[in-house]
Amino acid sequence: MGYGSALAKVLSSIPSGLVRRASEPREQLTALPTGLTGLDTLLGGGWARSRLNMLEPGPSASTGRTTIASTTVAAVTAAGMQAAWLDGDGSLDIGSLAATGTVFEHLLWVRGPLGTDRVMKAASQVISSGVFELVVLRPSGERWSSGAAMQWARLSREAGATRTTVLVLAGSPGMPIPGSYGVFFSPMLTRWTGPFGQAGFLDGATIQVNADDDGATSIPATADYGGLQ
Amino acid sequence: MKKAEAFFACIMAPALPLQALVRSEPGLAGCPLASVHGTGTTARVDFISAAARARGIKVGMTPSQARSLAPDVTLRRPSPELMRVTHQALLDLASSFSHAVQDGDSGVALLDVTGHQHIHGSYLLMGQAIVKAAAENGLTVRTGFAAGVRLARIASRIGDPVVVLTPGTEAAAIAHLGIRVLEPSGELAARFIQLKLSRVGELAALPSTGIGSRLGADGVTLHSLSRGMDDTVIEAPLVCQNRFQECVSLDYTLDNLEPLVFLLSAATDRILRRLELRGLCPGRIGLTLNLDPAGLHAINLQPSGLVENPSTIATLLHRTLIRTPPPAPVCGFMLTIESGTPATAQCQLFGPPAPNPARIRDLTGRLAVIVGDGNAGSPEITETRHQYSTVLRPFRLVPAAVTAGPTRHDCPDMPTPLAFRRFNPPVQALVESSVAERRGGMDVFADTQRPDDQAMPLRIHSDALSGTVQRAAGPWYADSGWWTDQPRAGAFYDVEIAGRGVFRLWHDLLSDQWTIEGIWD
Repeated sequence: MGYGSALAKVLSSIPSGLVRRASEPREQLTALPTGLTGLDTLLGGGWARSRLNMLEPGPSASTGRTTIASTTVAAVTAAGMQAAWLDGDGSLDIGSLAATGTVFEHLLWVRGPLGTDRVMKAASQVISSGVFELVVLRPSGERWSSGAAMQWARLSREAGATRTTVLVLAGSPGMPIPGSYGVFFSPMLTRWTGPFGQAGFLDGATIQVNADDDGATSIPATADYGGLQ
Repeated sequence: MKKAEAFFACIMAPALPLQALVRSEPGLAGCPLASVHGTGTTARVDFISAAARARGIKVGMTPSQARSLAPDVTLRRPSPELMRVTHQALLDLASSFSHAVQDGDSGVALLDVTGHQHIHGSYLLMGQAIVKAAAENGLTVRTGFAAGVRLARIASRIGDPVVVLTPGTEAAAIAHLGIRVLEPSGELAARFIQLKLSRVGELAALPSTGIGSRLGADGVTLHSLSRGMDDTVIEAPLVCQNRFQECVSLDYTLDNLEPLVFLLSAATDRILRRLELRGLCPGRIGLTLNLDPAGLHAINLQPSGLVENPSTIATLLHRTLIRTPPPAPVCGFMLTIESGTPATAQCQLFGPPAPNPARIRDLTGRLAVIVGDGNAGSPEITETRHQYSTVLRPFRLVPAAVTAGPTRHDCPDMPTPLAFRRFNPPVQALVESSVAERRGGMDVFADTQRPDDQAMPLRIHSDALSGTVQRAAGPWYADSGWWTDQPRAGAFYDVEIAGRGVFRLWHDLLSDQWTIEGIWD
């Protein structure tokens, strides 16, 4: 009796549903373009669809994660697709988002600050609706509860079911999230113009992104002072 | 082309007062229930449920007689508002099946259904669809179809849920009915009794000659009707309304919100079903609570999204009631929901796939419950002066072609703008500035010519952030709102703290307070 027929005989004696493959055939993941050519190259085409893309912070708070997420939101909405930004800590600056060219008619903004549980519940509703191509999730700064791991796992599952690309701008959740994809940010290198003080201003910065062992890329960004300057 | 024969339908809800009571309080279904008409010594039982009939209660009894026969009978007097909204629900049902609906008296709706047999397959199937839709809306109805309005009305009283009187068979079909189904006037009814006419067939059997001289013009009309001849049509079609109401009148009071929300949820469900019948979606919501012993408590709600889930609306009402609770126990309510504009969008054949607008409406409703009404939507910048002022518009599906235009992505050489992230709320900080250094005898900026009022931050201390300023730029002065009670005057600075990031500081010159406004990220 060959291996295949022996396996089939064993499986036929077990009720269906109780047995499944230890490793499912790997799904060919498609990518959502980030709106930045260099970053797309680094990430193999863009953000992983159907996944939680964890934009991991570096030691500095100024890493450029918000800039990258804003640029992707602008690219998605400009293409006529729907995007959502769940602003758990209420830090989203709409003026900065407007500067990237985001089409606000295609953007759902869930305004914070909100508690962690409410943000996660709202994220679950937004992702599971299947309406949005891209969801940016910035949880509130509160401490994670003991049930956070299950909440993240559920979001990951819902993103997979609805093929939604999720960008998570969180401090480290402190736990591995199944099915998530980590992108690491180093402190951005600032460019100042002029002397220290009144005559100078922040000209921009270079954002440094690392994707596991795939390498790194640098993205130049300029500071937009709007009406301030 | 052959012209379609005119055909009409009548939808009748028998024992409407009982139906209205059970519909508003589903717990009464199956109970021995009787509705009472009149007050004081003139009060009489006018409709009884099957369970009440089984206990020996009869129409015309006084409430005392009914209670002596069956102590467990529930005697209720339906309010005029309850009767009105139930009748309106019946008219909404009729409007969902025909473009021309006429209001009969209480519990009766008349429809022009000419040609509708082609939509439903036959008039019989149409009648069955009406009965089914009515049941889904908490009503039990009978339907009659005939070539004239009055004949259709008679057909609805034959007894079966659906009766279709095909042309030529009307006289035989109604011959066995009591003559009162012809709805004679009081004088004519007395004349029929004198002539010992009790069945429609007996009137039809009379010869036509002499009917006018004996029974008058009305008698001639009823005689023709008894022979199946009717040329009456819909004369005053209703204008569809956009306000949908449901009410509940209780013979007890509610002291807390939970049972009230339960009743509100059921009433909302009934209104949404009526809206769905008409292909509409909910808009503005109004609730008027009847307080015990007297008084009203009204609240209004304009959801940012068009919510279509009854529990969502009930939850929104619950939260509003928690914020503005009724000052006294509640003994009833009137819930009003105006119809909104259903979200529609013409999508592009070659554009990106667009989601179902109904799913967006459902999502916005759910989000309103989770994050609070008005905290989810599409942002819109209304003012750009130092600080962006934004409002949230209801998020809805906008076709790609409307918004697609030249963007910065059409110009790949354009630099990426650095994003700013606001601290919410801004963080209070203690800032050591260059002026302070000078006062202390240390002038670290001796080589820079700067007036004293342009103090540069040197070190920052706060709960969230502390460190030495490595690089700084500013000040950029801002002076706004000087014409209001809350003027704002101060200066912005951008500062880099080694290993922590680049932050924006605000120095309020009116209070000499420093805050960290946000971070470049």
